[in-house]
Amino acid sequence: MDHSPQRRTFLKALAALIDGAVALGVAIPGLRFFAEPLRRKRSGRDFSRVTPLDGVPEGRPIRMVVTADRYDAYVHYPPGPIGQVWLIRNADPPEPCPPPSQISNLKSEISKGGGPPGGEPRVRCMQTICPHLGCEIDYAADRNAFACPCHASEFDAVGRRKFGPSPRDMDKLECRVSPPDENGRRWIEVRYQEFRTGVAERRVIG
Amino acid sequence: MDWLTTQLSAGVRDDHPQRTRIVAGLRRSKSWLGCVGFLLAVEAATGLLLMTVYSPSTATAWGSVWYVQTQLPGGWFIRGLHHFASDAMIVVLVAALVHLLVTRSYGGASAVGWWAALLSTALVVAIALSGVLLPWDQHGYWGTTVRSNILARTPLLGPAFRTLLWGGAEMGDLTLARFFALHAFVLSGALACLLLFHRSILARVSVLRDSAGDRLRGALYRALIFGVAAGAAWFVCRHHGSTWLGAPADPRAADYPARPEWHALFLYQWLKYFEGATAEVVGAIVIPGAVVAALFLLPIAARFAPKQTVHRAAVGGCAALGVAILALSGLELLADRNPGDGAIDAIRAKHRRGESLSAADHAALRAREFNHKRVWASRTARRAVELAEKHGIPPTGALSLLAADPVTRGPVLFAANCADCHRFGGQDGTGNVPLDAPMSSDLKGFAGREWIRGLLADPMDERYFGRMRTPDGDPAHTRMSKWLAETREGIESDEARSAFETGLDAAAAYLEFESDHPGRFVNAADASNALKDMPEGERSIILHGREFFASTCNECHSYGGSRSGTIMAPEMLGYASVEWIALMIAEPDHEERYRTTGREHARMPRFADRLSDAERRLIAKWIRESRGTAMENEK
Repeated sequence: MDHSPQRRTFLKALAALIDGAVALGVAIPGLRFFAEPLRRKRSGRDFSRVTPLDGVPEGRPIRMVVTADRYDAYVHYPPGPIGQVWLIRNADPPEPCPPPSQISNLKSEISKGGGPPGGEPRVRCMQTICPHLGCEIDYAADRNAFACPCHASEFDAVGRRKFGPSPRDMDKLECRVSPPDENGRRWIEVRYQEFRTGVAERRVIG
Repeated sequence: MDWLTTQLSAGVRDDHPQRTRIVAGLRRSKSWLGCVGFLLAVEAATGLLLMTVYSPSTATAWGSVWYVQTQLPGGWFIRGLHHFASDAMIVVLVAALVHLLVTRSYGGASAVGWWAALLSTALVVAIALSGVLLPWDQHGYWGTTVRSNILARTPLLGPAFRTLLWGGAEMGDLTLARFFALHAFVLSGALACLLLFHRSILARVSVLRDSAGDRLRGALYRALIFGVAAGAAWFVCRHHGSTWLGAPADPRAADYPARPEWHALFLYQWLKYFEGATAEVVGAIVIPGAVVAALFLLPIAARFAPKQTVHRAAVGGCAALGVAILALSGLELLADRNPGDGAIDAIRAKHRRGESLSAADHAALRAREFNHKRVWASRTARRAVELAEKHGIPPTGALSLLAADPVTRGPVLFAANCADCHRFGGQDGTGNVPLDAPMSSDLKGFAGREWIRGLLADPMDERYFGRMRTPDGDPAHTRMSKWLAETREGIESDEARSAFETGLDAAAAYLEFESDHPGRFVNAADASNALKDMPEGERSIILHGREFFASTCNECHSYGGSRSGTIMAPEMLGYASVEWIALMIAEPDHEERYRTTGREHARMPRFADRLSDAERRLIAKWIRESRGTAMENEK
């Protein structure tokens, strides 16, 4: 038998190599297994019907549930609430903000409940999740303002940041009013999305 | 390990100039080690017991914890011990760190103990925070949401870290599974390994071995401390047990006022001073990270910089930190303190006079809102426990119990949809009194005998139609009041007057009966059947009321569609039953309700499209069932 030091070194190295290969062989699938959530992509949602247009009062924000089916890992939930939105009808100040001389006109327009004369009804749709740290934003009718119960961020009646720690305005969601359906009803349809919290710019999650 | 042992043994050589100090320092580290190790053993034992019941999924987690807490013999005690031992570990470790610091047991060979204590503290806090989510109640859910989102702000890796922690972009079953694994195995396993490792090193340093007397003394102290602690835990659990389980997590609740655990309140207050995305990263991550790093680097600083200076700076810094923590916690409690009814009444009066409110007023209103929401949250939590006891947990999870519960959903829906105009005992149903004056009736006790009798006495009272206005600003719904006034005026004799009022009394009793037994008078046999078991006096009053209704009220108010006169007032068949109220909410301008006639048209908006049928019925049921047992604002 050859007990030369070279041979010993070689065998040691070989053993280490095999150990390393085995370890990697377990660690790589293990890491992929554990980090699967990072690879999972959320498929973009299409517009979903939220409520008939007539259900949304003029000027006063209301919270509506967005209903759809969803997956949570291995569970496929039947259509149910996946999130909520704040809807405001015809209280949308045109952008950019009108000069003060026009504001009184706007106000009377809002109080009459009409959109722009002869125009389409305008609906503003906003995510209920606070852009600060992700709590659900409540509406304080007393102050005609949106307020987050966790860290007291406040937003004005159309969701613009008033004060508090939120880094941006409430997140607007794409929404539209459908043409009348067979019963003559028009529906508010929203493309539901969630956004990253705690950053100044709006970035979609997933 | 051998290397460490050699280093430590060398550090306490007989001829080492600071031998006494080093031996003392390492011994101090031994004492907290024993204490934390013991508490960890308590956690392991109670944790294993809890694991025999706990089930980490969104549908079952709350139910299994509820089962532990309320159904299993001694479950409240096991869970309470598990909770308190965790708090105790934090207290012991913070005390140990302070002790090590002021006795200078962090430099040289004692650094091992210092680092072990710091790492253990970090692990214990992480274990506690991962455990908070497991019951899947509101407290854990919203606290974890906020904390994870703070972590997600860590530059570069933050968002990925949150995704890995949650097992996806949203919290769900995988989040619970991961937190459970972290809490019960990964983090607590790491802590156990750390403690064992530290202990084995110290045990190898011969001068630290305890004498038999030391060990006996230690055992006695331990038994004493354990006795007192277990007794205290038993006492506290017994008296506060049920409050630790919040209502089941509701990802759609906008009324949960999340606040951190007592030991993190200072951080909550601290972050108020960092507004804006970048500033908040500094406040939440950079500065706390720097403080922790400074504590870790303390032994190294003590080695290379003048010891006296480092020690003074460290003690001074930690004292400042302690004062700051106390002050910030105090400020937080102060900011959230309930401003009291008097202050709020003054603000409300100011608002109603049309004056603008100051920043302090707004702060008071927010504090009021917080306290109100907290009271509501604990009421919901108690209700969830009640419902679980009554019905058991459905396979869809405990949240669906609350979703179908009029007692808690009714007031919330009422507050969000009806309380712009209506009131419920002066408040919005959940106990909050809105700043604006009501514009319509107060529905507390709606359609109860007393409520109806009040309406019949004076419909224009503020409790009924008194505050209602037509679009032109005139009083609305005046016809009934006019009719009553004319009829009362037309009565000549005192006898007839008292007969009329008695008739109204009876009509109120009859209408209350009608709302409890809708439609029984459509069929005479049915009515006598329903009246059969009533006391004689009661029965005759209701029958008299029915007669009075048929002869007098029926002129305008139809019953089953028929009326004797031409004026049309709301239908009284099944008046104030759940069906009746639900239709009233859906279509107040329905032809059986307040149809649009001329200028006195229905002021109430239709809710048919705004609220689902189920939601309308929840409000209706709550108004019906809470008759006379209104929920006053709890203190």
